[in-house]
Formats: sequence, C-alpha cells, structure tokens
Amino acid sequence: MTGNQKEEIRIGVFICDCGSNIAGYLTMQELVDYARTLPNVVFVQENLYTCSESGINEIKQAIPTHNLNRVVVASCTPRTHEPLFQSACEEAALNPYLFEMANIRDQCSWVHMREREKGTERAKHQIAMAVAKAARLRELSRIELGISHRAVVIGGGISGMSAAMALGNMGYEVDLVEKQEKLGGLLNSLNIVLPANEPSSRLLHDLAARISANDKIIVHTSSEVTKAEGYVGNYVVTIREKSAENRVKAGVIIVAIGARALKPEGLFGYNGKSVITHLELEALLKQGAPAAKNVVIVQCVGSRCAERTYCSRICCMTAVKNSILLKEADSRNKVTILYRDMMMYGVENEDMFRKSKELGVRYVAYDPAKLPQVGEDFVKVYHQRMGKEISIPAELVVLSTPLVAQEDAANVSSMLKVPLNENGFFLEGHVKLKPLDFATDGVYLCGSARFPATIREAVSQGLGAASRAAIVLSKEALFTSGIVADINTETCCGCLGCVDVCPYGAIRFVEEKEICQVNKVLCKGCGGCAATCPSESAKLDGFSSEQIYAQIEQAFAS
Amino acid sequence: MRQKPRYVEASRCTACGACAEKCPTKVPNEFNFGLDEHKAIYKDYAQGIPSVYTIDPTHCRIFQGKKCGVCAKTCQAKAIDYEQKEKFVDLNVAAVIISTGYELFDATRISEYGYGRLPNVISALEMERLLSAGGPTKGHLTRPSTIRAEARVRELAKRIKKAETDQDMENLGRFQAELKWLEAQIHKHHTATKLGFIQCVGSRDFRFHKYCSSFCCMHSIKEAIIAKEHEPQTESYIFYMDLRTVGKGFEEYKVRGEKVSGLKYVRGRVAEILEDDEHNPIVYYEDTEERRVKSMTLDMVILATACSAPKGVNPLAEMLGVELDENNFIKTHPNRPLDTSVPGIFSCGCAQGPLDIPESVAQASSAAARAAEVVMTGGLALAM
Amino acid sequence: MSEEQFEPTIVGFLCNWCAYAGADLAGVSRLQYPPNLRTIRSLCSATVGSHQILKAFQKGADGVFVGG
Repeated sequence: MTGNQKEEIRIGVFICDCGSNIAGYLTMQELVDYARTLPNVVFVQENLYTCSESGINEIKQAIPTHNLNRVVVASCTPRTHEPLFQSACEEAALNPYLFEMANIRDQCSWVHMREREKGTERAKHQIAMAVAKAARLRELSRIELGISHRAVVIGGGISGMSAAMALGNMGYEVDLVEKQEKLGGLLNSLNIVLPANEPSSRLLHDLAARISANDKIIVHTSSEVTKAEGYVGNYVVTIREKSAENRVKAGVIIVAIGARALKPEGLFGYNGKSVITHLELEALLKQGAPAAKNVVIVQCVGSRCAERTYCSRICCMTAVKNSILLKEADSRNKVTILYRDMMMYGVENEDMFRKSKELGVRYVAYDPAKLPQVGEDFVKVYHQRMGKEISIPAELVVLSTPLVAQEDAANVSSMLKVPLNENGFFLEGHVKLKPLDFATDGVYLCGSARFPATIREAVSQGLGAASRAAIVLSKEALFTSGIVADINTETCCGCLGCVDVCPYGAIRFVEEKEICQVNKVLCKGCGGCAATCPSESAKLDGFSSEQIYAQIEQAFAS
Repeated sequence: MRQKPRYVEASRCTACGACAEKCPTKVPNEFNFGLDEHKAIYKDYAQGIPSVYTIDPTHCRIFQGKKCGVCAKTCQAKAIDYEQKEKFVDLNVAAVIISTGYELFDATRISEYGYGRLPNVISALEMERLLSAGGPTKGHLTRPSTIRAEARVRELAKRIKKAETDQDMENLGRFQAELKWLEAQIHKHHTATKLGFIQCVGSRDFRFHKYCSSFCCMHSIKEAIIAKEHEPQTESYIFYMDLRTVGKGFEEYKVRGEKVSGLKYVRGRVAEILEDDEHNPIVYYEDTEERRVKSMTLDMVILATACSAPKGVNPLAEMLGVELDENNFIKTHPNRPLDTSVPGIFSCGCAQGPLDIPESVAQASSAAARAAEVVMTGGLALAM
Repeated sequence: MSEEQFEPTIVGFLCNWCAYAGADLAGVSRLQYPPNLRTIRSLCSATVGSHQILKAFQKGADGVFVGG
C-alpha cells in the first residue's frame, strides 16, 4: 500500500556452512534446493564461510550479476554479523535495510546436533521466514543531522563545575547555569572537606577561579533554565538570567542540580539550637568549636525509614568527620554517635572511622524499633550490646539527616523529559552500566541529583558526564538509525497511547492535526508504540506487522 | 606494549568452537576455579570479548613436544598458528589510564576459616560461578564436596572397568566399596540449601587490610537472594559487622532480601569454621544482638573476600613512576580523583581502591575525560 | 494418529537484547532442545502485539513464546 510502483523482487540467498558448524549437523544440499523453490528467490549460493573475505565478495558480485534487490544470509546470528553483511550490501550499492538474516547456527544446528532431519526442517522454515520478510523490506535511510558544539550545564555545584571545566578544557563552549548568586552549591555551607582536610572554600575558590579564567565557559548566576526544546545535538535552551531571557543552541545538556539536606522538623526534638543538623554544626565549626562538652550525634534521622527508604550514603562519614573535629578542638569533649550501621566504605572512610575511635569517640548501635529519645540535656537509648537503656548527657544533639531531592527536580524532569525515581532523584539510563546517561540521548547526569555523593564522587561524576557528553560534541554530525517508528497520518486517531509508552520522549501530539508524530532522531526503534497502537497506525520500520505476519505464515508452510 | 601469543590468529578465528570439541587435552578450568574442565584450546566463557579461542601452551600436546595438531586440522578457517610469537608494539600517547583493577584476597591466609582445606567453604566469586547458568553446574547449587565426589565416581567407574578386564579382584572390591559409599554421600548431600555468608574476610582486619572493601555486603545479599530464587527452600545467614548499603537502591534491596527472600542478617564476626564428618561447615560466631557465642551447622559457607591490590602493580607503578598508597592502590589527588602523582597519568576503578560497579563505570568515563582534556589541548590541560 | 506422534509448532518472539541473545547463547553452549521452535526476532518484547500473537495461533501455532 505504499504507493511505490511495483518492482520485481529478486532475492539472493547465501547459505553458510560455517565450516562444519552448520554443514556438520544439517543437510546443506536440502537447504539449497529448498531455498531455490521459494518465491522471489532468483539466486542461491552455499559458502564455506559467508563471513570470510571470499564469502563477502561473492555477495558483492552476485548483487549486480543477478540484479538482486534483496539479500538473505542464512548463517549465525544477526547480533554479531548483520552489520558486516549489511555493509557488503551497501558496498554493492544495495540499501543495507534490504538485507535479512536467518539464524540457522546458534538457534538451529548448534541446538539440534543430534536431530539432523528435524533440524534441517527447522532451518528450512527459518530460511523461508527470512525470505518472506525480505520480500517485504523497504529501503530505509539514516538521516544526517548537524550538531551544536556547545553544552548547557544545569547547576553550578561541585559536579556541575567539574563537568563545565572538563568540557571547557576540551575546547567546547559551555553555559554553566546556577540558580544562586554564586557558584558552589552545598560546598558553600561546608566547613572542612575530606580527604583533603582543607576548608571547602579553598577547593571552591580554586575551581571557580579556573572556571572564570576559561574563556569557553560562560557562567550564568542567579539564573535558571526555563525551557528546553529539541533533541540530541540540537537543543534550544532558554536561560532566564535575572529578568532577561536568552536562548542558546546546545548539543547536549548536563543535569547537575544537586540535592539539599533535609531539615528534620518534628524529629528528635529538632530546634536549630541545642538540637541541630550537621550543616548547622558545620556553620558553628567554621566560627570555632561550639561550647558543648557532651555531644550526641544521631544517625539515620529521616532516612532508612518508611518515609524515605534509602541510605543517604554520606551522613556517616560527615558525622565521623565532625566528631573528630569536636575531639580535636578539646579532647575532653565527649562525643557519642548513635548509629544503625556505620557506612564507612572504602579506604579513607575506614581510616577516619578508626581515627575517631582512637580519639575516644563512642559508638552506640541502636535498634530502629527502639529509637533514641532526646531529652532536655540527655539522650536515652537502648544499648543493644548491653541489653538495657542508657542515658547519655548531651548539651548538643546533632541529627544526621539525608540529602533529599531538590524541590525543582520535578520541573527539570518534565522539562527535559527524563525520569525521576521514587525518591525524586534522577533515574539514570542503567543503574550499573550507564550511571551518568539518561535513556534519552543528549542529556547527562552527575552528582547528588543522581544520588547523594561525596565531593570526590561528585567531581568524578562531573568529569564523567562531560566525557559522555563529549562523545556527541566531538562528532561532526549524527546519523539516526534506519529502524525507527512511523505513524500513519491517515489512520492515526490521536489517542495518545503511543505517547504514554515511549520511553524516549520521541512521540509528540500534533494538536492542529490531532495525530501523533514520531521524532525519528529520538526514536530508538523499540516499537513500544507499534505494539500499543490499537489501529496499527504506528509501525516499526524493518519490523512491521506486515513483515512479521509474513514470517509467521512461513513458520507453518510445508 | 607486549602482547602475548594466543596461537590462534584473531582475524581468522570465527569462534565456532570446533577446535575445542576435538581437542584431546582436558585442563582444569581456571575461570570456574577448577570446578570443571575445559580443553587446552579454550575460551573463558561464551560471551568473552574478543570472541577468539586461545591455546594454553602449558597443557597443549604440541607445546609439550608430543604429536597432535588436531585443532589445526579441524579448523576450516585456518586460524591455528603454533608459531605465533609475542608481539611488542610501541605507542606514542599523550595520556595513560591505569585501570588494572584488583585481585581477590587469598583467604587461605585466614587459617581459622579453613578455606582451601574445607571443601564447602568457598569464595564469593566461586559462588558466582556456581550460580551462573554458564558455570560448572549450570546454576545449580551443587556442593563442591559433591562435585569432587562426582569426579571421583567417574574415575572409579573407569578403574572398575579396568580392574574387571585385568581380573584384579583385590582392587575391584576396594573400588566398588568406595563407589557405593560415595554414591550414598552424593545423594544425601547434593544441593546446598543452608548457606552462611561471612563478611569482611581480609577487610576491616588489622592483620590484613584495614580498609572496607565496599562492595562485598551487596554481593553477598545478591548471591543469597539468587540462591533462594534457584532453590526456594534455601536458608541464608549473613554474618556481618555493618551492612554497608550505601548505593542507590541498595538499602531497599537489603530490606527486600530480608522481607521477601527471608535472609537472616546476623550481627557478629565469625571466629572459626570447622566441619563435621559429612563436610558440613560449622560456624562459631558471636551474636552481638543476643550477646552470646553460638555455633551453626551449614551446607556451605561463602567468604566475602577482600578487594586486594593486584600483585603486579608494583613493577607497573615503578615503571610509570606513580605513587602507591600503603595498601598498594594507586594514589590519587584528594580533590582530583583521577589524577595520579604523575601529570598525564590517570587511574580509575579498583586500581585506586575498592569501588562498586556504577562508581567504577562513572570513574572510567571521568578518566577518559581527563585524558581527552590532555589529548585535545596538546597537554595544556595538565596545568589545570 | 497412533503412528505419528504429535509434534507441536511453537512460535517464539524473542527480544533482540535478551531472549534472542539467550537463544544464541544456548547455541554457543550447545544446550539441546527439541526443534519445534520457530524464532522471530523483535527489537523488544513490547513490540509483540496481541495481533501478532493471535495471528500465530490463527495460522496454526500450538504455542507462542514471548521472551523479553
């Protein structure tokens, strides 16, 4: 129904012996003879190794000689060999999407090694299915796109600054957008940072100075990104700076909006004076040590609980760091840390943990079912090891609260069409293997916006996100995949089913026409839309229903 | 750069595996910790990259001066090359990244845990292989004592046959008696369903590594959950000091392990492991929550062995001139986590200390960024 | 009926990234299974719509396997 004039379909089938891997278990001659009988097949060739140089040459020669306009290779698996055969087609001036494979080794000869007859039968069907699909393939093309070699980094904390610095050093233009009036984020509120054991201001000023010295980086303070349109390589980002709005073209966007420390209103008698948070303690420590002789620090305040299920990663080390500073200020100070598990992972943390014990910091494990009770000048806690409740004098109680998602995370998420997890942190492309990417190309992630991170981790992730972004920025042009979805404008009723399922934000609803439309650049060819569409208007090129129905039919042909 | 010969021409090998099928020499499979065997021409595992076979010259008959050449005859792609030599390649580069990873702590150094002596005390990486569908038991949790017994049964069957043909009645009786006893044992103690996981084996231990290895809490929980998925009646006990579930989703995973998979987290360090006469490990530990010293008999014990700096790192560090820390990890700048003591040389992953997968992956990208800064500015970025 | 044993035909829709790769791995590992399966590669199990599954049954499938 494509309206193309009918061309004669001429399919060439190449059947691979794979040495003895296929030929040793299937009857090749039967396959060759059978392939000759299939509709539209005009040429059949058996190769010792189709993937060898001579095999590839045979494909390249057969295409012009026999005027082939479709090629089928029956051999191993398309997962490893499709690109090789496709490029052979391309070299012989045949569109690479007019190629199809039948898997008769990995999924046939190797799994039916003791059933020659039935295995051969299955191989015949797999070949017939591939041929039927090949007859229905159509030319597809990869669209070439230009790129803006410029990055927008949202958030000027330590990770965003590191990302901007790295991209600037690589020679790319960067807009670093910070909401507050100065760069630094949470770093501004900290006292001493570890493991360098130096004032946070030193690290901050050093990095800020290098950023302002780099002429590739434009810093926008008191600014916000209000709009982002476009797609990888070609974003238009609106930055509101004070009252002016600026639109910049950018190839990539890095999300580095950080996190904020939870204020524990209503928890453990928090009052901001005698019961404070670590950020408040750090502010006091900047002025010199607080007067309190007895300090109790309570871990997991508002984290690892029903309301906030996660462990915030950095609070234990913060508590230990501050306990050391209190002890170093006056060794007669009594510091007790009430904890559940001391999360002092790695080399430096464990060293610091040990040092605190050497200085006399006392650790008491508590049971989350029996929370510590904060009184006027004491804290009562059930001591698990002693099996009884004890009372610890405390003029100052410090609550270790988790980092929680920024209030505007949800806005940034919907603006960039990238997801958040149940705790409001941004959800990366893959928790293990793509920690700094999103499923959507062109948008990257670093620092505590992803999950609470130490300074070293935030720096490292900032550099890492820059590295991921540079993969796009370093290209001259981008090519889309040929295998993308397409929505038939005639039959689409605009039900939005496809918009909801698309994980890549690649489909938009065109209001004027009341239909849905695929952005072929963002589409990754997953086909979720095609499966959802009730009217079969959405289809995946190269895996269309028509093609798959043809395959299904051949699965039963005798 | 030195490249060792694999005696297979990588550009010709199609990884079809016909050579390994025909190879007559069996070798204990190092990748599976000797729990099964592969041939003298082999690939560590099916998905290995590059997908090319390799000849083990310490076992291949040709390299032992014997007659063979079966693989060369079998290979229709003509990829076998017994004459291949090691190659030296000079590379001119602007930056170097050290990502040499880590080595497992040698648990035999903790003699009271009996690793290497008690068959059913294994390392967490051995457990990974046992749980793997591509592993020696195809994911079935067969006890190593049983795996050994099964191998012995196969050997006995051969010996009995030989004794029968030789009419060696004395040995025949002996073998048959052993076979009978072994078969009963195998039947009784085949699958491990009561598991103990011991944390901090070599880590947080002043005798060995003072540091925490960061990732072991999670892999023990993961292995215990998977074991339960494979065999629903599995019971798992995790002996720990602190369960360090610091990553994204880790705490939730730990809670799920307890609530859904029924894992039991026991706060206490294990003092010693013994075994009974059926190779069941007995763990002696202090339960700090109940404030008592207890023991527990298990089917199998899995040691969460520490992340140690690789032994080969010293000559490498010396050659490159980079400093190591007291644990032999590559020393990095406190605020520039990828920078070693030498400008232009960067380090990522467990080479610089224990890291879990997402952090390692993130660091790998970061090290690439640092290297790119140097390469793309012709070295100017080194000044920053 | 008695001399010919029932041989079902099963259509398998396999996701390129997992189940199809798994089926390849079964081959690489030489795991043997009955040759009654006919595999169709899809780019994601989510692309396998009810239309396709019903079509398979309509054309004579005795079973449909969706792996993803």
